[in-house]
Amino acid sequence: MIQLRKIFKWVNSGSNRTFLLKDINLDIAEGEFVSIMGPSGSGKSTLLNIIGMLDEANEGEYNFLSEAVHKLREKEKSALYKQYIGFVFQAYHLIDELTVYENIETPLIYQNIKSGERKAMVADMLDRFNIVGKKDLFPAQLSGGQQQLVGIARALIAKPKLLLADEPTGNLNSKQGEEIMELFKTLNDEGVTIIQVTHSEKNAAYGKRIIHLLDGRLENVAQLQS
Amino acid sequence: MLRNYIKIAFRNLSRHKLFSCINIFGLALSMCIGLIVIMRLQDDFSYDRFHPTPERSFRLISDVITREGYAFRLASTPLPLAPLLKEKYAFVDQVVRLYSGWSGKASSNNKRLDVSVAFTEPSFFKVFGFKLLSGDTALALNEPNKIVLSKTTAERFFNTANPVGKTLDFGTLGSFIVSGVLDNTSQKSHINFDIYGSLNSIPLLEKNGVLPVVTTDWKNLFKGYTYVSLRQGATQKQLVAGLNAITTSFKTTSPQDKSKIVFDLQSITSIAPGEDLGNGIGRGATIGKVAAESIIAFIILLSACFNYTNLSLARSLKRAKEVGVRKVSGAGRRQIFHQFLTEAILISLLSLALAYFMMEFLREYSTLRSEFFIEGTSLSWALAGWFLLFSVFTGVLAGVIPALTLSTFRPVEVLKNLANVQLFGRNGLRKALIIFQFTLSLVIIIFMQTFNKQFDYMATADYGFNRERLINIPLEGTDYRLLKNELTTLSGVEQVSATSGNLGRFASGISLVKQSPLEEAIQIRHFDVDDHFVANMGLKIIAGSNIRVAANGAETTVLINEQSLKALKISSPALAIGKSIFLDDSVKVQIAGVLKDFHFEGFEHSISPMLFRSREKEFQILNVKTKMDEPDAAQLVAGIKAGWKKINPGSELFYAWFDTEFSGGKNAGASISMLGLLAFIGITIACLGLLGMVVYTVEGRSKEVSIRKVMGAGVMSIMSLLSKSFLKLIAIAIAIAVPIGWICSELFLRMFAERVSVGVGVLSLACSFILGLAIIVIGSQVYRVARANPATNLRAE
Repeated sequence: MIQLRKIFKWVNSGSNRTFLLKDINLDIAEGEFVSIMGPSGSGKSTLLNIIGMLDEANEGEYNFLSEAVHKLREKEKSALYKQYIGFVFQAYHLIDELTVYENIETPLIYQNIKSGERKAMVADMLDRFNIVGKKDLFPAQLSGGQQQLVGIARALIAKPKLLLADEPTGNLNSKQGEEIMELFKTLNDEGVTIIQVTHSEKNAAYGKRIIHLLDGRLENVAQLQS
Repeated sequence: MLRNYIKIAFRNLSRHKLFSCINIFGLALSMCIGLIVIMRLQDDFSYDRFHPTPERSFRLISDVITREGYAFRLASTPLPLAPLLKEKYAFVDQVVRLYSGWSGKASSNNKRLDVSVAFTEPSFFKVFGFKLLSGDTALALNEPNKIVLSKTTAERFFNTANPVGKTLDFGTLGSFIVSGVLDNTSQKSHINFDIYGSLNSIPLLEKNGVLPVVTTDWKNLFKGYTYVSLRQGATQKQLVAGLNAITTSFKTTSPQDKSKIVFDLQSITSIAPGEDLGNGIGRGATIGKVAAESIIAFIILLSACFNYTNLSLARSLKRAKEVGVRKVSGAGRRQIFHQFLTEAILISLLSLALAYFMMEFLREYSTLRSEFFIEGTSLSWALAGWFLLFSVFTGVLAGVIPALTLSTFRPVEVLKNLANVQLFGRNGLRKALIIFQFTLSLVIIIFMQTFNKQFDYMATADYGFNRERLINIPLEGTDYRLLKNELTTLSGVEQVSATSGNLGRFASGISLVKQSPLEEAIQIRHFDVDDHFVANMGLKIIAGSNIRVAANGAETTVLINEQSLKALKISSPALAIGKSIFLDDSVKVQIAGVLKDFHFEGFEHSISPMLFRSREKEFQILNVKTKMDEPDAAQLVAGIKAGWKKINPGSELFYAWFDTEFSGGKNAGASISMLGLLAFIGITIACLGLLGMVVYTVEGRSKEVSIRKVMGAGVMSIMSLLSKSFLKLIAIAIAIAVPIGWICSELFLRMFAERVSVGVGVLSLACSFILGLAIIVIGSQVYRVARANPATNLRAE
């Protein structure tokens, strides 16, 4: 599903070039659950953003579902991730002015799905996450765990093949975090490919594979038994 | 999608009430001016739209070069031109002459009313396509002494009765039979006379010497207007060529005259609004005026839109996260752009509603009603459409930059770390804008204060003549002796005088004065007054005696003022008494006395030479002086009314107390209100702009403020730190505005011979007002940030 070849990413500050990612080669197959780990500043989020097409590598090749992403134009990339990728953030990033229902609905609006169909899909999702009663509340009225549930529901509403999560439990307490991880596992079992960035060994253990980054380099890849 | 945009726009509006209010209010203020201008434009462009063949109908124009080489363009043409065209050229279908020779009073049914009259011919109806409400266009103006009344004029004379067949008396011109009523309300034309008479009445009147000979006079360029419609298939080129041929032959008929007249033409649809021509008739704006109004409205609008842009950009940091999330959820750049544009348009639509109310309020209650609004305009569907279009345009104008900026935000950046988002660094432009807005406001305030001061002074200052206890009555053709005798007998009246015009505005005319028949005449302004006038006005005769009014109406004596003495080079007042002078080459009179100088004209002019003459037929106004102890003004006025009715049964009395009429004429209330409105709008927009800038900057510096606070900075030191840069802008604005405002005011005051000075008071008041406002605006925001808890700000980082 994902092929990264010789990915480099750097920023120039003055005459110095600081590398964020150095020579990353990575293959991720459909149905995998990959955890990316590493200390702060090791390039985890950068890598995730590049995979999510929110950011571009300075060098290297990226193939996503046999599309050469590094050759695509902005618009084509946007169409691609709109269709296949869902994002979950550490800070949830819900739109404060929209209700739970409307937040979940947002991606569908941008995919030009008809109103009736949207309604059914959102209702399904609310049902599945057990938040039907909260659908008319605004994000500020929810706890962190509930907000993250909404965030995940939003990421999943358009039925993506790939779910990218940047420290999804970072702002949650351990119980809430566990619930989210259990949910991820279930989703993965249902066939969604998941890539998460995490600091926690425990959360990483939910995945099938752990990728360790250090100073922008791929340090080692550990296959977990499950 | 649109519903979603609107929903979130409304939620944002209600969440950020302060921002919404100032945005909507600021836009509404400027849009209100825009709406007024649109209404005026709609009226300006509604003239002459009903003519049957507009593409081949023209008005002829005279391009005149005088002997001295001055060139000017006249809307009028010599009257003989039309018949010549018609006779010479087969391609000319119809010609219409319009002779605006006479205006005065017409009477019927005991009603005597002022009317404007033009004489024209039956082709008038064919070329312009005017329809009659009653009467037949073929018969309406075909014979001498027939007239067509405008609908409003018909109502003034005959109320609702059908006037066709009735007669109107035009005094010396004789009586005329009404042959039709012209619908002048639905057929809006630049031509709007009260009455149209048949042109073939004129030759006889010219022959009898009642009117000067104009219809056959090629030299008279001012009394006639010529309209031409061409035959089908004929072109404008042919007419131009034809006119040129006439010009050439016309020129050769008088070779000794160096002056030159060339005839030109303009399409009938480009008269109103049109080119600014000399001697225009009727109504209709010039293109210049239309453009000026539009430009002023546009500048005000642009200024308000800039503020919206400023405020929205200030807030864009808050919206950045939303943009990021939407983009990650699959929104394209275009969709984000549309969303924010929709929001701006929505705000502008709300502003439109407010602006409409503001406009209606102005229309109902403002003293500027008549300056701003055209009588009888009302909200039509077309106008509503224009308003909506204007509103959408405003929304786009205001919202396009924020929408573009927001739509370029990259999710990776805005979702990760807001502090790293660099809004563009066009601070220089914004600062310049703030300085400009405040400079402009301050200049207007200074100018307005000076203006007010001068007119206040003029309304109350001593002009050297009395304005108290005087009632002025326009004679309107009434016999002056009859009315004077009638009014003098009233119990509350001290004495009655007559004059050709009230003192304090303009002289009634200019006399050519010589001391001997052979010398070069000098020009001296004059009034015609009777023998009681000097006493009524409290004027001082420093030598000699009062003017005498001879019973037979012959002019024997004059009074002169001290300036005339100088002009006539007479060394002392005493020497002037009894001296003979010649007026206008014909009248020999004696100087009866010398008046102490007084301001017989406004303060615009310094006192110039002036003389009082005594021609009875020039008297226009009676001055009734009431007795010192007269207790009941109402009873006196009733008495005057009764006296007037006795002599003029058919017409109403107009009267005015001289002092109120005088100060009313001097206080220029409308101009003050207009300036006041402009100043208010200017200041409001400037303050909103400043507010936006302060909020934007202060929010951007909240991290810096927090760090400083953690390091131990106090509220006061932070406030001064944050305010300094803004106060500097205001200081710059003041430094620019004070000299400009002072110069403008001085230039304005130059128009008055007697004037106030601008003064430190005016300048410092204006400056402290602006400074005070700015401090309130800046202080409120800065205080908020300086007081904020640093821990909250730093944690968010």
